Amino acid sequence: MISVEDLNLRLGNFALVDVNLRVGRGEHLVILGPIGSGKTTLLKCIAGIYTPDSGRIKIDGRDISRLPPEKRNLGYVPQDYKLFPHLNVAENVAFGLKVRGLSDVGERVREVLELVGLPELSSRRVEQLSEGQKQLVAIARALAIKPHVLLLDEPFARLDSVAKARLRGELMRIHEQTGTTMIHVTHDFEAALGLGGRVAVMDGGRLSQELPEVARYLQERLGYIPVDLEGEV
Amino acid sequence: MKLDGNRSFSILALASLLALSLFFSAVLLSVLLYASPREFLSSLLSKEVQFSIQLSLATATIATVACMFFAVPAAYALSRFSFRGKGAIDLLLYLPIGLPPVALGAALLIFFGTPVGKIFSSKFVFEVPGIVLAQFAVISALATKILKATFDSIDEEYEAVARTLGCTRFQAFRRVTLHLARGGLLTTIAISWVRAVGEFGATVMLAGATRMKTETLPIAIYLSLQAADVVKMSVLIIVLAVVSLAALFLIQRFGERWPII
Ligand SMILES: Nc1ncnc2c1ncn2[C@@H]1O[C@H](COP(=O)(O)OP(=O)(O)OP(=O)(O)O)[C@@H](O)[C@H]1O
Ligand SMILES: [Mg+2]
Repeated sequence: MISVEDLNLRLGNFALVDVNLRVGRGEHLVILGPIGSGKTTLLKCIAGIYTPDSGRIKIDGRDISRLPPEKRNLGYVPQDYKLFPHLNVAENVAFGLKVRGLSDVGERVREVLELVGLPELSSRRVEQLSEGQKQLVAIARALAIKPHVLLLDEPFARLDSVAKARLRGELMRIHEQTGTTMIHVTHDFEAALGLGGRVAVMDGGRLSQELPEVARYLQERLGYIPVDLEGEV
Repeated sequence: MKLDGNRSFSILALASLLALSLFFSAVLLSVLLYASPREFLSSLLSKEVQFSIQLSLATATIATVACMFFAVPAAYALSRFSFRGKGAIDLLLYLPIGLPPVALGAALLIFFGTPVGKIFSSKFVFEVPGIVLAQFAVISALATKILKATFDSIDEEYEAVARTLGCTRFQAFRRVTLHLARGGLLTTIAISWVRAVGEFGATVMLAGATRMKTETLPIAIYLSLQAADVVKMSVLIIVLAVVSLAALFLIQRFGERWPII
C-alpha cells in the first residue's frame, strides 16, 4: 500500500496543498485533473524527483519521503516517455536491471516485452517506434524492475483514438497479469474512465479521493456521472 | 542595386561566398608555392620542425585531457545545480574567453611572481609545463561554456527517469547524460585541441620562445620570422593548417562511432 500524507510543495506560483492519498496494494488509481492542476508535480514528488516542503510518503507503512529516487523502487513513466535514444528497445528495458547488476537480464527483458506485447521489437531503435509502442516500451522499462508502484503520467496524451483504445486494453491486461499497484494521472476524462480503477480528482494543487466529491466534480466537468461510479455514490 | 528580388539576393550571397573563398585560396596558395618541393621537404624533416610538431601535439593533447577532466564536471555543476555565487562564477569564466591570450599569459606570469606562485614558478615559467598551463588557461573556460550549453540542451527528465530506475546521480550522468552529450563533447574536444595547438600569446608570455625547448609550432613561426627563414615559416603554416583541419575532420567523421567510457 502507498500513502501520501499532508504533502505540501510550493513551486513558484503553484503549490500542492495538503495532498492526502491512499492506494491499496494492486489497486489502479486514476487521478483526473485539468491541465496545470499539479498532477505531474505530485507524481514527481512520489518518485522522489521533487522533494516536498512537508508531508510524508509511505510504502507499506515505511516512510520513503527522505529516500533518493534510486532507493524507492517506483516505476515512473513520464509524459513524453523519455526513452533513452542511445539504447535500443531491449537495452532501454534492461536499463534498471543492469544498474542493479542482476544476472538474468535477458530473460527478464524478454518476459516484460512479452507482457506488453512487443517481443518482436527488442532490437528496434527507439526513434523508429510509433507513439503507442514508445509508451508501451516506457511502461516495460518501468515494470522490469518490479516496482512497488507504477506511476503513469498522461499515458494517452500523445495517442490517437485507435492507439488510445488499444493502450486501455493493454493497461487493464498488464494490471490484471502483474497485479502492480498503479497511479495514473491524466486530464483525459473520457479515456481514463472505464479503466476499472478508482478515481480521484485534482484541481489547483488539491486532491480529493472522497466519492461524493469526485462524483460532484465529474458531474460539473462532464455533465454526467460515469457509469462506473454511479453505483458507488 | 535593389535587393527586392530572389535572384539578386541569391547572387549577392553566392558572390560573397566566392569572394571569401578566393581570398583564402590566394593566401593559402601563396604559402604553398613559396618553397620549392625540395626546400619544403628538407625543412619539414629538419630536427627543429620535427621537434615543434611533436611538442605541439604532446602539449595540446595533455592540455585538452586536463581541460576535459575539469570542464565536464564543472559544466555539469553549472548546468544542473543552483547555488549562491553561480552568476559570479559564470561571469568569471567569461574572463579567460574575452581576454586576449597574451594578457592571460601576462597575468599568469604575474601570478607566478606572488608568494604563492613562487612555490611552483620554477616548474612552469619558461618551461614546457608552462606551455601546457598556458594552453589550459586559454581553452578550459571556453570548453566549460560549450559543455554547459550542451548539458543545458539535454532534458533533465532523462536523468530523473534513470534515477527512478536505480541510478545514483553519477550513474545517471555516466549512463545517460554523457551519451546524449556525445556531439557536444566531441566538438568541445576538437575545438579545445585545435585552439591549444594554435596557442601563441599566453605561451610566449609564460613559457617563452626558446629554440628546441619551448618551441611549439606557433612559437616556431615567430622564431623563423625573427631569423627571416620564410621557407620554414611556410612549412610551419602548412603543418598547422593540416593538423588543425585533420583533427576537426577526424572528429566529425569518426567521432560518432567512438565508445564513450
Ligand atoms: N519547476 C517549476 N517551477 C515553477 N512552477 C512549476 C514548476 N513545475 C511546474 N510548475 C507549475 O505548476 C503547475 C502544475 O504543473 P504540473 O506539471 O504538475 O501540472 P499537470 O497537472 O501535470 O498539467 P498537465 O496536464 O499540463 O500535464 C503549473 O502551473 C506549472 O506551470
Ligand atoms: Mg503533467
